[in-house]
Amino acid sequence: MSVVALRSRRPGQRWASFGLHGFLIFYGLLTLTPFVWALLTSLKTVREIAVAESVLPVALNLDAYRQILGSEFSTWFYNSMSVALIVTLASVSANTLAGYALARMRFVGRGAVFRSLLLIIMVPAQVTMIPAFLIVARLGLADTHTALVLTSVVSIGSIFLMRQFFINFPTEIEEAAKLDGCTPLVTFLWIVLPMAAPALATQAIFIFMGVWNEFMKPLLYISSIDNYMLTQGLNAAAKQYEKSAAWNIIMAGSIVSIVPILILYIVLNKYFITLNDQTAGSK
Amino acid sequence: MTEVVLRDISLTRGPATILRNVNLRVEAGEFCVFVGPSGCGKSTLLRLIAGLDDDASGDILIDGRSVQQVAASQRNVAMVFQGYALYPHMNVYDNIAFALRRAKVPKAEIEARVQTAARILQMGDYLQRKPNALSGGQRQRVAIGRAIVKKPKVFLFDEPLSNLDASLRAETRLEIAKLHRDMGTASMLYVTHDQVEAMTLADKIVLLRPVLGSPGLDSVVQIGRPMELYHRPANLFAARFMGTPGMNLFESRVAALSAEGVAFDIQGKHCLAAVSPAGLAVGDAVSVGIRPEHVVTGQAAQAARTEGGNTVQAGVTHVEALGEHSILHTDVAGEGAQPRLRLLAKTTDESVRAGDSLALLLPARAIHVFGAAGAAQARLLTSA
Repeated sequence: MSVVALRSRRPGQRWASFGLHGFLIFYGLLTLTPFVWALLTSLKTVREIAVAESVLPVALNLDAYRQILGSEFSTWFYNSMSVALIVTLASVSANTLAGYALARMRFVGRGAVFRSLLLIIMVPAQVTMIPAFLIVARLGLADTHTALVLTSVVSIGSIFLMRQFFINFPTEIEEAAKLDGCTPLVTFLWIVLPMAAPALATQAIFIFMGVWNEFMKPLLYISSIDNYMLTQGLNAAAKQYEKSAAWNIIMAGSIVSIVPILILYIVLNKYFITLNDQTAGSK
Repeated sequence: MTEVVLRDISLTRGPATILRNVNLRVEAGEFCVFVGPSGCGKSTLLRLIAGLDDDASGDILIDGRSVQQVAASQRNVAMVFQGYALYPHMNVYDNIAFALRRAKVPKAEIEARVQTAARILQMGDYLQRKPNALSGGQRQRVAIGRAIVKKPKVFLFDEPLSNLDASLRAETRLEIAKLHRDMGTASMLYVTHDQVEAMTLADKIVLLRPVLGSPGLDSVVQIGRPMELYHRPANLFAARFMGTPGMNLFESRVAALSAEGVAFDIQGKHCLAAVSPAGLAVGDAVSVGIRPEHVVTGQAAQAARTEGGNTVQAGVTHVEALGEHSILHTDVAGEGAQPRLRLLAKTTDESVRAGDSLALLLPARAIHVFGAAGAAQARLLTSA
């Protein structure tokens, strides 16, 4: 709402919009506060934190960052990044193909497969946690990143998302491609996928975030420090540094762990917006 | 020169019958329009010819070759879809060239064909634009251009004008007609529910009707040139479908049969229709039809009344003035308690008002008589 539009509204409406905006700003600040606090804390020295004189740091002290980047933190960061990227890639591929098959292809048992997925998604992860661990251990994959990848590569929610997307996808375009000489595979790769970019990006963001923030699975499967995911590592480090009250280091770790998500979101943000613009090629 | 032949095409999906016993032949270079109300299977028929659906029984032959087992892209047909179906992530040039690139046509040849199509359809200005930067009419032209460059034997149009607004529709209709003249040897199959498009574009019309729930009924109602369907509808369905406003139709009984034709009862009066009396007996229930534009009003009707011809007296209930002519809604009074008969007539006389009483002449040669089964009685070719 521009200021110009504001002036032309009745007083009652103006108060209402002020109130709404005020509330939104307040809520936004409330949400940002922990992050800002963490950022500021990470730039302080241990003494400053202990003394707790002011909110702002005396000087921009990057010691905390230097310390964590030199420690196992880098290893954990690398672990999380590699697992998240591999899972995102594999998962988006698998979920998209599954969603397409469920939406477009006719095969025996399609209904049964769909209903099974509905059933499976109703079962909480905590229930299947222990059996999954037993299977992984039996396969000799305990304490490996492979275990994490294998157990995360299918996201049923994403399969439903893609299935719904493809159901609403204009079949005329695929038929035009068929008449133009494309096999189903070529149609899928060169026509359907490019048009599905928004849905793929949405998937990618959520899956990456899910893996990056995952705590329970790594805790279950990973036991050696070198294999820790970032979440585990930060948690362990926090416990350790807590004793020496080195909050600046803990906060620095938190801030650094947010950065990839921020970058991913900034890069893929525009795809959220174009998610529903499939009508560009048709009426 | 390509001819398309459909033999005994029937299609049932689950419990629903969509097409039954479709037999037709599209001559080489002909513009053939499939027309009919929703659910008659006209789009389905087109898709069967294109190869997008293949679950029908019967045979489809393009140029004498059966194509039931041939893949869609190998049938040498091109289709223009109702929703244009352009690839949104490619620009116009790439959209048009796509099929040619898939077929590994040499680059120079692709360039030549695309430029020719662009010239024919006046698309030269926006070859580099993406579909979402084009208007509906422009997208339609790109869709047509995409079909042209394939140099197909058969063009298939699936209701291409239904998403355009009225003025654009008229313009694009002309362009399609012109395209047909330019394309020469290719046959064009065109699906529409709009009988105006059918009348103006077609060399041959195939009128289809829904057969769902009517066992034994064939999908094809009538095949013929537009004027043939208009002036000599084969049955009630055809009579009702063609013409705006629709043909006046009412129930009647045969009053007398003679060599001159069939006399029928209209609100107590007897009128003569110049149709063959074959198969009819006095007293049979028939449907009688006459198109509004054939109902004569004014001086000629007055004169005929005094001579005792096919005239009835009617009161005007409503006048729709359309500029070039007016449509008169009239009521023909019956004797006693008989229900009133509504007839529509056209006139260029601007002085007629609601409430006027006037004479309507129903020329014997313009009256259609349909037997109990709905089939039309053959027209009598008399000199009268």
